[in-house]
Amino acid sequence: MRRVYFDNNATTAVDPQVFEAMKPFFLEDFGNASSIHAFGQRARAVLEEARRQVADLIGAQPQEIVFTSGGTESDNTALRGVATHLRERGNHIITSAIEHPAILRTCEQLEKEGFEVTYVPAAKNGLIKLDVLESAVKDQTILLSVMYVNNETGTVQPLARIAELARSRKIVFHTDAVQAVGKIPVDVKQLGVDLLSLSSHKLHGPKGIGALYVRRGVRFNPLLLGGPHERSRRAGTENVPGIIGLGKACELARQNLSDFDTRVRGLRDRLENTVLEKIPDSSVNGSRTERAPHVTNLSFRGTEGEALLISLDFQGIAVSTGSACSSGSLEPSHVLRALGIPSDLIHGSIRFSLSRMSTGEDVDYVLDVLPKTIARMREMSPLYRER
Amino acid sequence: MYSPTVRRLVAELPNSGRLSGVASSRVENPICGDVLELYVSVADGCIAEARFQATGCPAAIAAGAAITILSEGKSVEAARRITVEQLLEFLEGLPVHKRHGADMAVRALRQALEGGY
Repeated sequence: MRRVYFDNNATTAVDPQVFEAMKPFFLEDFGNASSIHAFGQRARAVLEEARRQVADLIGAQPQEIVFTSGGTESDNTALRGVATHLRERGNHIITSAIEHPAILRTCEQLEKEGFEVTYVPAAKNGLIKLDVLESAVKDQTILLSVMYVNNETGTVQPLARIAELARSRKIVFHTDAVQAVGKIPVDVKQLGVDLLSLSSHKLHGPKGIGALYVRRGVRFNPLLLGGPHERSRRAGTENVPGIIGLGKACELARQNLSDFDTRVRGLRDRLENTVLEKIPDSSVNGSRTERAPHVTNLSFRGTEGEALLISLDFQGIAVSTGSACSSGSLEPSHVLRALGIPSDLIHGSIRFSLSRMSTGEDVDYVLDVLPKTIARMREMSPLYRER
Repeated sequence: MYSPTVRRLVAELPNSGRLSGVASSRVENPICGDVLELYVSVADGCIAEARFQATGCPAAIAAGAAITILSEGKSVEAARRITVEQLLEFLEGLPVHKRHGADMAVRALRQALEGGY
């Protein structure tokens, strides 16, 4: 049976070149980058080279890159680190209702610690309401955090416009760009962000490693305390193989960006357009224009996402659904709910997320299997029969 | 999250369909929107055929399929005595927040058999 992996927003396969680059740093060059002997100095040299590779992908300076354990730690560090550092200046934070749980749960915790948080809603197209954001700003606002590319719909937020507002009001601006880096061009200077989170395993690097871009001059309280690693911004012995992997993944992503925009976009569009044409009562969630090239979030009336996911999985196709959230509750996707999508369509939603490793044959196979699978599920659906 | 049995039942949908002119029932869960329909034909005091239709999560679908498999060939009295625990055992368990799927299926079978056949 053919296997198709269209769940690249969950994680991606490690690129074989990334794996090769990492290998020597387990058995041979295993030194601690803080050690002054040759083993340590070798690790330090390659680690700094990786820092440059990461910086190059996002238009930053190497010293503005702090290595972390991944997107969640980067988000936690940015929010908690800036909020607590600026507490004397104010206690108000603005974010959006469609952020990743790494942002939302951190904000909820900060609320318990005395901060006030405004959650800006999104319109049906997935773009956050800028007028609401603007009117939410007050003198006590110290931090603004808006994601670049939404993980569920792929919608791209107008960061440069938000950054302008943040700059004019002297508010620190963070973006969770975990689903953007390596997929669309990201230039921190052009975007005007102060902090940016990225994750290695979303761009064909290893899991357990990520980075936080911190614009020169921006101060924050470190999340982890200990040794003076990462210029005292993140304590803990550096994960050298992971960092090498992230660096190589960034270098490859940079080389492949234009191919990603054309070839992957072409595959996604063919998949989406053919599904909409062949499968009645199907629809796209979120904007079709302001969107990263590798994601489509589709709803199929009269189906249920988890059941559809299992059925597709039995036929070798891996996707994800907003039908039920990962916390194990009955609550469906907070993102699709925030977009005002009716609950039956949220329950019947499936996210296809492609990568540069996706092929035309993968799309052909999905287009062969999906219509039959949906027809079969609808045949046994009382609600679809009665629609 | 879901057992291999639940996953297989959802992928294969055994006994899905409708029967006409037989005892039937419809059970709904207003909280999550699941709908389960059950159709049972009875001959000589035994359940000859059972079919189900469902709109809902894997738990509801798998429980619907499982109740048809468990009840077919049983006497009406024995079918009425099928419990939620027996169904859960057959399914190799359900996530705690999805156990209502098994409740719905047991309720649907008892309702269908109450309605006359």
